[in-house]
This record gives sequence, structure tokens and C-alpha cells, in this order.
Amino acid sequence: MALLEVDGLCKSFGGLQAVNAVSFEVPNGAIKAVIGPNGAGKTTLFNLIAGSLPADSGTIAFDGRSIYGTPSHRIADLGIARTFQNVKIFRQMTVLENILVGAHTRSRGGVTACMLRLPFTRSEETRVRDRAYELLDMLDIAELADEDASMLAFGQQRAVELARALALEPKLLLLDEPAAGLNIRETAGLGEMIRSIRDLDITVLIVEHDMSLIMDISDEITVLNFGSKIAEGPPQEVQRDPEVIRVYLGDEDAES
Amino acid sequence: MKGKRAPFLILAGLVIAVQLVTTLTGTEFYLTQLIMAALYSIVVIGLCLLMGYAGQISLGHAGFFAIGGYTAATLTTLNLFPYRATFIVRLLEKSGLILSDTNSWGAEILYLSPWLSLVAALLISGSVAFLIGIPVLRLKGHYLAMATLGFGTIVYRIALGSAIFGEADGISDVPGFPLLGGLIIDGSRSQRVFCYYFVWVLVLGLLTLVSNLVDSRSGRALRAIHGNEEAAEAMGVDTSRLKLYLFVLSALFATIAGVFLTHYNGGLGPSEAGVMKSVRYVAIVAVGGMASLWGTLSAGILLNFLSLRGYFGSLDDAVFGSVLIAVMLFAPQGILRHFRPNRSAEEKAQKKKSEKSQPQTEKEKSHGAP
Amino acid sequence: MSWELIVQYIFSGVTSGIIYAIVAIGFNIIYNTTGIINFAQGEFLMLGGMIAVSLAAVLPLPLAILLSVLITAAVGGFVQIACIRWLKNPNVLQMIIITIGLSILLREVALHVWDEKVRSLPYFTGTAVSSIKILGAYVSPQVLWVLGVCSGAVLLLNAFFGHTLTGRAMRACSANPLAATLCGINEKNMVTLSFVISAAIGALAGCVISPIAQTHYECGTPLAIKGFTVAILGGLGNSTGAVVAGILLGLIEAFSISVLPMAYKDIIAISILLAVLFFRPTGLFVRRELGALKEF
Repeated sequence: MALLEVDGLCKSFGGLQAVNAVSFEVPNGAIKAVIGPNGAGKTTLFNLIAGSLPADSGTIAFDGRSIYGTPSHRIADLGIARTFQNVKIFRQMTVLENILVGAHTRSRGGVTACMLRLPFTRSEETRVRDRAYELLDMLDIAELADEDASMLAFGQQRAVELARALALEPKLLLLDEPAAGLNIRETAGLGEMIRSIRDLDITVLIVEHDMSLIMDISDEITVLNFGSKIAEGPPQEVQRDPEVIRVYLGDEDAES
Repeated sequence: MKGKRAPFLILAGLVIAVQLVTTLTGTEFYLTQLIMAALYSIVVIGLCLLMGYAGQISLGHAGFFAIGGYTAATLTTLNLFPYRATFIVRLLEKSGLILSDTNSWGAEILYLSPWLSLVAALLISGSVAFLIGIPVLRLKGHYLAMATLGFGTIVYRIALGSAIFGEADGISDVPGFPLLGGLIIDGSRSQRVFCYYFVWVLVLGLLTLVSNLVDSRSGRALRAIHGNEEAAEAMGVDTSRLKLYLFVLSALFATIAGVFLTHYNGGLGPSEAGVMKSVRYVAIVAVGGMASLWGTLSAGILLNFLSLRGYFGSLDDAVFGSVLIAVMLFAPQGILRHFRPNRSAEEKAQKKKSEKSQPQTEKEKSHGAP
Repeated sequence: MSWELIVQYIFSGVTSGIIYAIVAIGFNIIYNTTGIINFAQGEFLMLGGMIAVSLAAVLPLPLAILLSVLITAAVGGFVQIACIRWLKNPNVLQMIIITIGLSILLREVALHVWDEKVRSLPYFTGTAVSSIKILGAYVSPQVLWVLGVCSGAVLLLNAFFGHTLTGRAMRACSANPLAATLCGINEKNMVTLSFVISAAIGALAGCVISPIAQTHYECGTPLAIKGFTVAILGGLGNSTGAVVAGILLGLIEAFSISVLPMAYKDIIAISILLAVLFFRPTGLFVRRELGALKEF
């Protein structure tokens, strides 16, 4: 049984069919990529899985249980973390605080307990802070801990978002175009980072345009076009698939 | 956390110092306005939590203040003397929940204990906040502002138009709130110093709770909602539930203030529920710096004290209106931010930002586009 | 309820309703050009009435009204230039608070320039007791003035926004400010113009309703709340919807007197506002999905 199983997922906006009966699986421990031209429905697919958009029909099962119709905060609690294409950093909060919020579902302490500063909240606080500093070190942004997160450069904000997602201790990590705007060296570094994340027993599903990254790290690739799945398989296979070539490069090149 | 204790100690010191000074110089009457200003500040502290930290505007918080005040006033001015023979009245009297007194005409009266009415006020206000909050907090921006304005106006109209609430005259002859050992919260001079300390202990206590909240797990979740609601949901924060919690909490703060102020003043009128009061609370939060508890408290004490002592004269409302506009135009982060000696990391970064060239901001904007 | 009474209520309802609709249209014009909700809209009506009353003491009535409209329009423009025009990227909260502050200031200025007494313009034709018999009920001629003037204003505005270059330019600003600027439209001027026009029609409405509803420094706020209710009910930005919604609200209020005590009349409008906001914030006439689109 795969960690994530999506079957016949559909979503339309008015007349536009953004996701058209898409089915695929993400095996436990895999690094799987979803690629496709712009407008293929990749981010919509992510939003459906993460619960921030309600699907029209189909099934989504995570770790054996259905998450169709589950609200996004509940899905986060179950162990799916995500990053956003245009980074959604918490404004007016420091980097450290951003990461601490990531650990929200992995710590306890409601409003009343926090107001009264009950003893257990203090030990929880220490625990999540230590973990947050670990993540800051792992992503090499420890010196930014007390900076206002919204004032950082785009690349740094990306790192913060990643640390925040990891703080959730997810089983499945959804990365939405993590390489956008990165140069070759940075992209390679990102590839290494994703591999080490997999080593932490975290399954990764990544939407990306950057082919070098995808070819380098993915175990399997799913290709979408106009909301439908057109190919799926290991990178070498997908690379040679005539339909994929046609979609990306045009008809003439496919025939050659 | 040592730095956090300092402001509390300074405040406590100031409170004591002011009281001693006024007693020594025979100007204890200043304490009256300080007591009232402090109670009004409780409303603003709650509102600061809601507006500054959770990012939800409320133009109707005077409504909750009024619910507290009117509940306390109505229940404690209900003369139960005619029913003194009934079982339940005798039972309540025995358990100390009904008190006896003589009114201004010398007749004996029985009335519900203010403790009971306090509990009732909190329950009623909390329920209303809960019920209203569920639909209201789904709204944003203008719609949220208007909905809360509408709520406050409904409370005002009910207070103004109902005979049971005294219509335009409000309710008066409200008894004091008895605490232990003969100490009472009322307007009498003998109790004034005691009331002063009681009120400030209350303020400091509530401030402590709120201050604890802000730097905690739940407080961060709250600020995350304000920072980016969608991302907060994605990180597991149940945003609707938390917003509702905060809304009810801030309503309860306003209710407490309403109850004690009514007992202190011996009554209240429908203007306490009016739009102008709600706007004043918002103005004070804006001046103090949306997300600054100490700023809000300082602004609240200062502005209310001046207003209550009449320094603004007939221009009272105009002053608050101008203050609102001025703050929003020139210092949307609040005036006191500009005067703080040790600037936060955010402001240092802000300065760095403004020193960089314009193109940086354009790039940031384009990154936001899909 | 006798037929006569029903007609009476209908006229009363439509009269107040169309005034609410004018306030709503004022909201819409500014909202359409800038996305701002101008909480001070009601004060434009108040100022129009107050200024006209003062001028009417020395000038003939039509002139007094005309001047009042022009002066209030100028005030509208001035207020926008002084407080809003130069702001860069204000956020929603800032704008809400600024316009609320403006509403308070205008009210207080009115209080101190005039006083808290209630005043009113003289009836345009006839007196307070003259009446015309329509459909069996006795109706004040002022009612016909209200209906006539307001309908005329709505038609004029429709013509302006639909068929003149300036009007189209303003609509362009609402649809896409950047594109409008690229077409050579001075967006900032259009925004100021929207305030000027809103203030002008507000003032006109304030004058025409003054004999019936009286004018005093505080009469703006309840009108603003009801106008906002109507604007939302009809669909924010949709002025035909505003007219229909306004008349609907006016009628509901008028007939409610037969079941509720007068003191609670205002609560009806607010309850409707809350109901709309909670259940149908896009208004009666717009399908949910299309709610994002704006249309004058």
C-alpha cells in the first residue's frame, strides 16, 4: 500500500477542467515528481492533496485512510507538510517563530494553558525550540533566526519555508517548485537537501519545471498536460516517451 | 524572559507612586479618572489581541462592554423584596447570593449579588460572542468591519429602545461590587484607594495572561493567522477555531470592564454601546501600535484619562477621529514604535530595506504573481 | 390593513428606499474606481442638507441647493486629496480606519459649525401639510420630488458611466488600474473624481430628503449603514441592484412599523445586513462564482 494514493481526482473551475481524473501513487520513501507545461494543473493537484481546495470527485488516501474532504489543518496534523510556489512566509514574525509554527501540531498547549503558563507548556516550548534550532542548522540559516522573515531574500525565505515544513515532522512533504529562481549550484544543493530529507524517512512529492533537478533525484515522474496524466515512470522512460516530447517540444520533434 | 518582567515592575511602581503622590498632595480625585481609564484599558487590551495579533478588526466591541454593564445593572437593580417569602429567594439569601440593603427612600430591598450578575454577564456575553463569531469571523476586510459595526449598533439600539434598560436614561442606582471583608467596588471616596489598587491588580493580571499568550505556542499560531492565514492552516493551525476563541476572549475582557465600571459608576447609559465608543477603542489600539500591548495600555490610559478629565472639551470625539486618521496616515504601525529606544530586528531590517533601491520591491511584487 | 394604508406604506418605503439606493450608489462609485468603501458617505448627505439650509436663508432655494451640491462635491474631493490620494499602497484596514475617522471628523465639524439642532429645508413645492392624492392615499409632493430627482440622478449616472469618455475612463480604472494608466488615463484624478461625484449625488439626495426626514449633524451614520446594507444586498458595485435592493429595504422597513415598535426599526436594516454578510455576501443578484467581477 502506497503512502499516498490518488484515484480519479477531478477539479474544475467553471468551464475549465483543471484536474481531469488523475490517478497515481506515491510509494513510501520515494521521491516522486510531477511535471508538465504551465497550466497543466500541477499546483491545483497539490492544493487538492493538501486540502486547501475541495475536489469535485475522486479519492485521496493517505497512509491507508481517506483524506477526501478533510480540512487542510487536519491533513497537516496527519502528516502532510507543504511549501508554496510563491513563498507564504508569516509576516511580522521572526524566522525562528515561523519554524516554531511548523511544529504547531507536534506540540501541545491551548490558549488557556498558554495564558496560565502551565508547567507542561514550558517543557514543550524548550523541546520545540531545540528542534527548530536543529532545523536551522540543517538548512544552514542559523544566523537568520531572529530576523524578520518577510524581510529576507527570496532564496532565504524558501529555506525558512522548508524548515517550517520539516518542523511539522511530516511523513509526506509536498514541494511546490522549490528550484524556481535558483542557479545551477543552488539547484544541486537543493537536490542534496531533498535526498537527505528522504533519508529522514520522509517521502517527497515535488512539482517542478527544472529538468536537471528532476532527472537527478526522482525515482519516478508523473507527467500532466491540461489536467490529465499523459505519462508515468522512471526518469529515463519518461524522457523518451513520444507523447511527453510532443507536449514539451512540439509535433515535429516527436516524429524525429 | 527577564526582559519581560521589567515593564510589569515599572508599571506596578508607577501605580503605587501615583497613588502616594495624590494622597500626599490631596489630589486623590485624580484617582477616579485613573480607575475608569484603567477599566477602559482592559477593553483595549483584549481588542489589541484581536486586532493586532489575530488581525481581525472589530468596530463593535463597545457592544460587549455594554452587555456586561447592562447585565450587571439590570440584575442588581431588580428588587426582589416583594418575593422575599418565596423559597428560592430565601435559599439564595441564605447562601449569600442575595443581599439586602436600604434604598435612597429608606425602604428595604433585596437584590442579586453582583458576583452572580458577573457570572451571568460573562456567560451571556461569551455566548453572544460565540454565536456571532462563527459567521462573522468568516468575513474579511470591509465586510468584517461592517458586520461588527452592525453588531455594536444592534446592541446600542436595543439598549436605547428598551424600557427594561432605561431607554435613553440608562440604569442608575447600581450597588457596589462587594469583595472580601467589607471592601466594595463603588464610587464612594472611602473605597477609592482600594478600588484603584483592585483595578490595577486586575489590569496587571490580565496583561500578564495576554503577555504569556503572545510568546507561546498558541500565541504564535495566532500571529501566524495574521501573518498568512492559508499557510497557517497548512501548518495545522485550526484558524477558525482559534479566531473564534480569541474573539470570545476579547469579548470577555470587554465584559469584565463593563461590569466593574458599572458598579464603580453606579450605573451606565446606552452611549457605552455606541459606535463612538467602539471607534475610540480602535483608535487607541491603532495609536498604541496594533501589536503592542504596552503601547496600547499606555495610549489607553493617557487618552482616556485626558478625555475623562475633560481636557478635550466638546472636541472629544473630534480628537479621537483626528487621532485615528493621523495615526493611519503617518504611523500605521503606531506612534510609540517610533519612540522605542531598542528597535526590534524587524525595524532594523526595514531600515536596511528602505536604503536599498526601488527595483527590489518591484521584484518582490512580481514574485507574488502566479 | 386598509388599501390606503398600504399605499401610504409603499410610498414611504420607496421614498426612503431610493435614498438608501443613492447612498449605495455613492459607495459603488468609489468602490468601483478604487476598491475603497467610504464610511463617510453618509456625511456627504448630511453636509449637503446642512449647507443648503444655511444658504437657503439668503438665497433662493434652487440656487442654495445647487451651491450646496457644488460645495459638498468640493469637500469630497478635498478630503480625498488631503487624506487618501497621496497614500502608497494602503491596506484595507488602513482605509477602513481612515474613512471612519473622516466620518467622525466631518460630523464633529458640522456639530461645531452649526449646532446639534435639527433643521430642514423648506418643502420644494407646497408646505408640510399639502398633499396629493395618489392611488387612494395622500402623499406629500416632496415624495414626488425625491423619486423624480433620484431617478433622474440614477439615469444621468448610468448615461455618464456608460456613454461618456470620462465615465468609461473611470470604469477602466476599476477594471484594471495599471492598464488604465497605460492607456493614458490619469488614475489618481479618476479616483478624486469618484469622490467628487459621490459627494455631489449624496448632497443632492440630502437636500431633497431634508424636508421629510430632517437634517442634523448625526443623520449621516445611520444612512451610511443602511446604504451599505443596500449596496451589499444589491451586489457591491452593481447600481441597478442597489436601486432594487434599496426599494426592497425601504418597503420592509415601512411595513415593519405595523409589527415592531418604532424604536427597533433600525435593527431591521442591520439584521438584514448581517444576514446578507453571513449567507450571501455577493448580494442577491450575483451568482457566487461571478462575485469577483465588478459591474457598475
